[in-house]
Formats: sequence, structure tokens, C-alpha cells
Amino acid sequence: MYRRILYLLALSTALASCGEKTGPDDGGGSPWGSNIPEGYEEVSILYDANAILQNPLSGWVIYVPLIENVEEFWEKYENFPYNKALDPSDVSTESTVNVFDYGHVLYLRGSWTDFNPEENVYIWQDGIDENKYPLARSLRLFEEGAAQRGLKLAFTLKCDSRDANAQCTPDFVKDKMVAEYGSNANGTLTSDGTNIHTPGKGYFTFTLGTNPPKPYWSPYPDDPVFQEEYAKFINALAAEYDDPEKTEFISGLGMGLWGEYHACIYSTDDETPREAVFEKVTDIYSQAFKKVPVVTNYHKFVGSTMRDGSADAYPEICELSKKMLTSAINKGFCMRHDAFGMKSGNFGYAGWEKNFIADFKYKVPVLGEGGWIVTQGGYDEEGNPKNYKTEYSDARALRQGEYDAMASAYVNMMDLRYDESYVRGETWSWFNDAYDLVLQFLRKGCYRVYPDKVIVPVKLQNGKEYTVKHRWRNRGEAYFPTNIPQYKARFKVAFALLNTSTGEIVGDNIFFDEKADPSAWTLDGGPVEYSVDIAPKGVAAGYYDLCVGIVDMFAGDPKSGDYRIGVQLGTQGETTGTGWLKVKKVAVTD
Amino acid sequence: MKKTLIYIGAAVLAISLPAACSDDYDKYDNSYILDNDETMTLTASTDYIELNELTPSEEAVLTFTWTDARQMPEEYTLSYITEIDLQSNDFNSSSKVRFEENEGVYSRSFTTEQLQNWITDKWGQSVNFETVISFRVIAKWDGGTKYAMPEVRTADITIRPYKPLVFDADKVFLEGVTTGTSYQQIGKTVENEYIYAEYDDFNAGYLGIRVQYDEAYQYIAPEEGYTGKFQDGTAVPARMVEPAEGSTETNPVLPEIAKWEFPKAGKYRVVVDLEEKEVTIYGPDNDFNEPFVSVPWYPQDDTSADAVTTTMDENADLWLRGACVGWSSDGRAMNLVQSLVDPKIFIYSGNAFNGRTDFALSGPFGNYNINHMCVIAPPLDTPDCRDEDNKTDVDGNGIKGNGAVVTMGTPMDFEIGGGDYRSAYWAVPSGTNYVIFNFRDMTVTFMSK
Repeated sequence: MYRRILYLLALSTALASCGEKTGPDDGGGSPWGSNIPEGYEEVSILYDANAILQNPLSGWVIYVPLIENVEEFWEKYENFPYNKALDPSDVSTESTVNVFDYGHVLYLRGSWTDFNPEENVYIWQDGIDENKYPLARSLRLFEEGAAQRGLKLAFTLKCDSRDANAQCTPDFVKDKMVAEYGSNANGTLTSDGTNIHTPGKGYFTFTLGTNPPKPYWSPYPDDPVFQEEYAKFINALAAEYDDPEKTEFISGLGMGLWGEYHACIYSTDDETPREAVFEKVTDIYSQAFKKVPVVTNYHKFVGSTMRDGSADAYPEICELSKKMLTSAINKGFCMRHDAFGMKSGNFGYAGWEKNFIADFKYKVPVLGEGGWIVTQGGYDEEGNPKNYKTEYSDARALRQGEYDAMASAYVNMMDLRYDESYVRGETWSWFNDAYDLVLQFLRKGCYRVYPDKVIVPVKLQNGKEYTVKHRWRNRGEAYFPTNIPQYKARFKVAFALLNTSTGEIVGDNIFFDEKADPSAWTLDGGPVEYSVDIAPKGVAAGYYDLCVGIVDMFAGDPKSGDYRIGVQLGTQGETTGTGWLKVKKVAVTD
Repeated sequence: MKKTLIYIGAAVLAISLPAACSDDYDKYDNSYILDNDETMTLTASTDYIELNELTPSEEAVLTFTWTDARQMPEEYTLSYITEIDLQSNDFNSSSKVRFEENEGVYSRSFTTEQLQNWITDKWGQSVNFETVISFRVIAKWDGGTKYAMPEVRTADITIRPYKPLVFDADKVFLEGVTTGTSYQQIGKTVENEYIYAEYDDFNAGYLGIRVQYDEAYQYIAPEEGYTGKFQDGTAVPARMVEPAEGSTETNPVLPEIAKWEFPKAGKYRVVVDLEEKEVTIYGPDNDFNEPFVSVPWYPQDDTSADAVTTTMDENADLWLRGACVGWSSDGRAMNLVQSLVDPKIFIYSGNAFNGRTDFALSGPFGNYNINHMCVIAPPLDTPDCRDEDNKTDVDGNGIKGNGAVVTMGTPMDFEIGGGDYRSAYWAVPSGTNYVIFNFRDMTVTFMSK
């Protein structure tokens, strides 16, 4: 990353304002449009449009299931073929890249059963028998490898088996239902294309496959036994992973087809329980995870029994979706959608979804996942296009379509889905059909915050108070979602005096600006300015680096003075090894 | 082929042209309508450029610079975006190359390699024609209370790509003062179709190695960082270069950078390896050119007879011996060809032979036949190569070796001698029709071609 502090302008008199947007009448080159006080300097810091920044809830999400050969995954992803011709700035002589340079989140997709195979057995438990529960070994290796590489984990946990060809809710839950309801526990779903549902009380059974058909079951989301056991599992998960040091986000709610929470089947055989179930499960997640963001799907049929159909044909169902999702957002949920790039108004990302999320622009972060699967595109025997070929001419066009759809939602994160071959599938396609878009998302789509101007005193005296003025911009299209409850207390703008040799904060000379709200910095909104008072204390006379940064209050040990920078800034300015941006070398006197 | 030239700085243009209309920010023809307060200007280092393959890859050959766009209130965020495309593509999203410029940057440069690759690979243009490319800089504002019209400036540049110099040849010629003639064609070697070589008398002076490829002439010159100064017997990395200025399609002129020095008159060996991209020249004083001379040997090991000395020069030959010729006492002359690459290498290329075989150094003469000669045979400790004297099988028959196992295509050691060597053989596989005798390494390689 280029780090350079540019020209200093000595003016006089500063205006004191906090969290104010710079107005159109201010004019001139000064952030406040007037003079700088004597003894102060205005420092302008240049923007870096190209450095790849790895920041919280931002960038590419790297998908992977709990596979057996984890070592192969690391090796393949750290030496991943890419199409360098798509990046005109690429002067590398290498033919591969490290995927983890482009995304810092490892998204482990599994089922409730995968993580909780038996009652009170969780595969993250210390001392678990990895021979008996081989997924525990996989999870351990992913956790260890992620920690070594500075990656964060994310999870999603399906509990509906209908699309999985695996049992997604643990059998002990069914056993409890049988104990509770006896012969009334079991409903059925025929799979002969008619989808005839005969309701039971706890769960419904069905078969998948034909040679021979395999029996499976899924719980009714409105069933109390399911909800009780699911809450127990989610709380156990939170006890282990509601930890920002190792977890980036949790993606819920796990119900419905593909875990995307549509085409639900309730015990009532209608939609009566829909809203109550949603409120119940969103409560479970939001109350369990206090430090790590939780995410759920937005689409027009949230929690509905509907799978396909136009929004116009089902206005009441869609209206309730909006109400439910708004409730989730108010509880602190982030939004995700898993069919970006599918243009169909019946099953894809279309008008309803676009209109819904437009109302929440820069109010809630959005995570994006493409809908089509590149390896499934093709033509049938009669030459009719199948899968993504129905909407796109080729893989490149598909990627562009997904990118554009996600950009329209100002997504914070995009998806690199896994394929066991490593030489086809979504991740391979992004790096080989659309490597320029991989970079474009990081350089343009993701949030890129930085202070473009700071007015600082050049000489400070111990015990005396000074007002530092700072102005921030966000040049990325997404926003830094410090307005979500999990981030509100986590990220704080701070100035600090650092030892020029060691780069360490001098004593407790760190000064937080509690008013500075990064979620208010948007590309549309222009710069936002603040002022904060600083008063050096106990500083030996000499020169120090006055630095600024965004501190992660959940990292390190702030109570004992161990502060960690939590955000990489989009500047060409010089930063310390610990990520503080140097603003000015200042003199401190007794 | 014309010498390519780069014209930089000859024409410095201040360009302010209407914007193309293929992206959000230039849906508006702002240069016509709202240019009264626009300030940005775009300057190109040239409006015409001929690319040259020999230009160092990191050297910028085309540079665009621009000035500040108009001053806007600070509520706006200004970005500069630059794009380059084939003019006829009109900055199509699938064809243009786009750069987000860092703040404080007011120029964008391109190298020969970038331009050539984009023109030929990305935009699919022929190297035989000039191409017009467009470059534009967009000053774009985000934020603010009102829409801010972007400033867009575009420049068109005519570019003649270079014809890539392929390191290959349809024909190779030697020319220069050393040859004494205008030029002489040399041939491919028998043993390697990618190697051209000549061993001849040359004058002192300089040599040019001219190549005819795809109906055009090129010269083989020392690679960058190397020199054509005489380096006796050293393989010099080489590259293709275009003929000098003043050349015509039929009369190429040897460029200075492609001259190979011959310090004095005499017999030189010139070896041009197109595969390895190397030129090796052996001078008159290099003992590399000395032919192999065998030690004196005696037919039938009869030391009372006159000793024979075999010289393996351009006239030398070997004779097939053994089962391959039906144990004929006359053997069969192989009609070897001496390699032009190395005088101690001889090549057989002819009818296939097989079975127990060794090779006589000399053909029948006087009272002696092929069974009395000194031979080239496997080392005597090679398993199965020879009959086991004084050993019999259970039936009392003498044990005969089947011949040393041959690994086709792999050089195998040989030794030279009479006596026991005359009963040592290789078991030559059927289909063998190509043999390389290397008297420098003392190896023989059996092949089927």
C-alpha cells in the first residue's frame, strides 16, 4: 500500500463543528473553508484507489463445506490460477494468486446435524472423538488454518433436508418429537411432483433420489420441540463463536429450501405460523449473538410456503415479508440475498427485492450470493438453453450480471462459492472469467474510508487541551456498517501519540472521538467533519507521531491499554506497522 | 520490412474532443453543452506511434497527461478514471481497459508490450495494419446536492503494431565480409532439424546470419546484454532482429547489432541452434575442430603386421558387423555423415538393421576381412554383451551372450579394441535406422526415426 502524507497548508483559525457535512458553499481547499488557528496545520491525505483493503464485513466471502481434505483446500486456494490479462496493472510473473489476499472470511456451510450430530455433542468441543465425528477434524483444521492466515470464520446451518440429500436436523430432535407426540408426530410429503403434504405435528418425511429412494425428514418450523432444540443449538453455537476475534458473521435462519427461508412447510399446512416463527427464530439469533453480526435472507417470500411467483400476484405475502424483514433489521440483522444475477421476477432478484433494499440503503449491510451455477449452464438436446444460459451468453456475462445486480444493492460482501474440482465452478470462474470484477469490487464496491483532511496542532504541551479537526470520506460504494448493534461499540475513531521509534502509544495518550460515526460516511454523502479534544499527559518532551485510526474495541485488551486498529484506510498516507495512519510529527513539551 | 520507429514528443497535442457515449458518465455530450466552466485538458505524447519489439518492456512509449478538472465544492468527491480502447469499440464495457487513478495522479503511461498485447490479443487487430485507439480521462464527482456533470476528454492515437520476430527459419544464410560472397545458404544438420551449421573457410571481418521466415528477412543477433565479439566455442544467447534501415523486401541490410566478429581468416564452424536460441562459433585455433584419431591397432592383433591408424574425419566410415549383416566377413559400410555441429560426431541414417551388432573401424583391406578389424563395441563388462569363453551350458554348448541391452534414444558407452571386443555386441532392436556415434563422449545412440 502506498503511504504518503501530502502537502501541508498553513492557514489560520478553525471552525469548531462536530459530525457536520461539508456544505456546498464552503468552497476553497480547506475543509472548513476558512482559516487555520495559529500553531495548527491542515494536513491533506491522498486517497488510494487501488490498494486491496481487508475490512470488517467487507470483501469476498470464501465458501467451503466441511471437507475431508482441508490441507488440499489451503494449497489449492493459495496457488489459484487466474487470468492476469484481465488486470492491466498486473505485472506479476506468477500464474497463480492467493485467494486469501482477496477475501478474509471463510464461510463454512453445513447443516445443524453436521455441527450437532448428537444431543449435547458439538463438533467444536475440545477432546471430541474425531474418528467418530470426522467433521470435527475438518472444523478444527479450518479453525487452525484460518487463525494462522488471519482469516475469520462465518457459518450457515441448514435444517431443512429437502434440497440436501442429507439429514440436516439431528435425529435426536425427531426422537424427542416422537416422544412428545407419539404417532401424531409424523407428517408426509410426497415427492412425485405433486408435493402433497399430509400434516403431522413435529416433522414431515419424504424421499430423495430414485435408486433407491432415500428417506429423510424435516422439522416443521412452528413446532415447539424444534424451536426449543434449535434455540439450544444456536445458543451453544454463540457460546463458542460469538467472538469477533474468530467469527465474521452468522448467516441464518437455516429453514426452507436451500436454507433461504422460502417454500416452508408448516404443521398447519398454511402460512398461519409464518410471522410468529420468524419473530421467534430471529429473536433466538439476535439474542444469542451480541458481538458478531447475524444475517438473514431478504426476498418477497420470506418464511412463506411460496417458492416461485410474481410479487404482483401475491401482494399480501410480499407485504408481510417487508414487515418481517424490517423487524429483523430493527433487531440488528444484516441482509443477504442468494439469487443475485437471476433476473426472473418469479424466482430471482427482481423488482420487489430491489425496491425493498433500496429503502435500506446505507442503513443495513447487504451480503450477496449469486444464484446461477456456472457449471450447470448449457443446452438440452433440442438446443434450448439451460440454467444460466437462459439469461446470459457465457460465464463472463453471468459474472457481470451478478456483479451489476449486487452493485445495485450496494453489497458489502460478494461470494466465492466452492467447487471440489478447484478448476471449475464459481471461484474459478470469478478469477478466470472476471478477475477484473474481483478487483473492481474490492477497489470500488467495498467501503474505503479515510480522513482526507486533518487540522492538528504542531506543538503540544502536557496538560493543555487542543482541538483536532478531522474530515472523513468513503470512496467505496458500500458503507461501513457501524450502525448495526454488534458494531456500535466496537469501532471507534481515535487519535493517539505514538513513539516514533517503537510505534507504540505513549502512555494512555489515545483520544477517542465518540461522535465520529463511520456509518455516516458514504460516497453519496460527501465528507463528514468532526472535532475532538486531545490533551497530552505524562509525555516526555520530544517528537511524536500524531496518528489517527479506527480502533477495534473488541480486539486486544483496551482496558489495559492494548488497542488494535480494526480498519484499513484507503489512503496513500504512511501508516505504522500496527495500522495507525501518521498525520503529523508533533513536538510535545512539558 | 521497414524499421519501426517510435515518435515520441514530436507531436504534443492538446486534445479536447467530444466524448463517446457508452457509459453512465458520458451519456451527456458535455464538451459541447457545458464546456464553459470545464477546465480539464488532456495531452498525448504523440498522435502516431510505431511499436518496436526491441523497446524494453518497462519503458513507457505513450503517455497521457491531464490537468485539474473544475473546482467543485468539497461536498463532492472527485475521481479520475482513465480508459483505453480500440476507437471503433467506443469504450464498450467488454473491450475497454479501465484504471481508477489514485488521487494526485495526473498521467497514465503505456508500454509497447501493453499496447501490442491489447491490439493483437484483446482487440484482435492485425499486426499488418495501423490501428486507431482512443484514450479518455473522466473526471467524475460523487456526492453533493446536485448532479455534477463529469468532464470527459478523449484522444485518438494511431498505432502501428510490430510484427513479432519469431525465432524460426525457413532458410538460413551467412553473409558479410567473412564469406567473400554476398551470401550463402547453409543447411539443417542431419541430426537436428532446428540446428543449422557450416564449417568452412572464412575471411577476417564480420558475419551476418540472415534468416528467411514467412517470406520476410530477419537477422540473428546476440541477445540483449551479449555481444557479437568473437567468443571461441561459447554458446551466445541470440534473438531475432529486423534488417537495418534502408532494407527492401528483397535486399535486407545487415544491422550493426547483428554482426558476429571473425578476428582472422581461417576455418570456422558456425552453429545456429533455433531451439535453444544460441549461436556458437568455433575459430581456426580451436581444437574442437580436430578430428578423432584412434590409437594404432593391428588387424587380427598381429603386431608383426603394419599398424593401422584410423582417422575419423569427414571421409571416415564404420562397418556393420555381426548378425545384423548375417555374419558377413565383408560387413557393410554405413556411409556415415560427419556432423557439422561437432566433428567428433558421426551419424548413420539408412536401412534398418537389428540383432547382435558391433562396428568395425575399417573395412576389409589386403589379406584381412571384417573379422580381423578393430571394433567399436560395448564395454566388456556389460552384461550379455559377449560370448562366455570356456563356459558351457548343461548340454555342453558354449554360452553365447545375446548382446548388450540397448535403450533406444539413450547414449550408451562404447570402447574400441580388437581381441575380445570382436566378440562383444549390442542387441540392436529391430527398426533401428538411425545411429549417432559420439567420439567426444565415446557414446553411441541407437534410434528409430
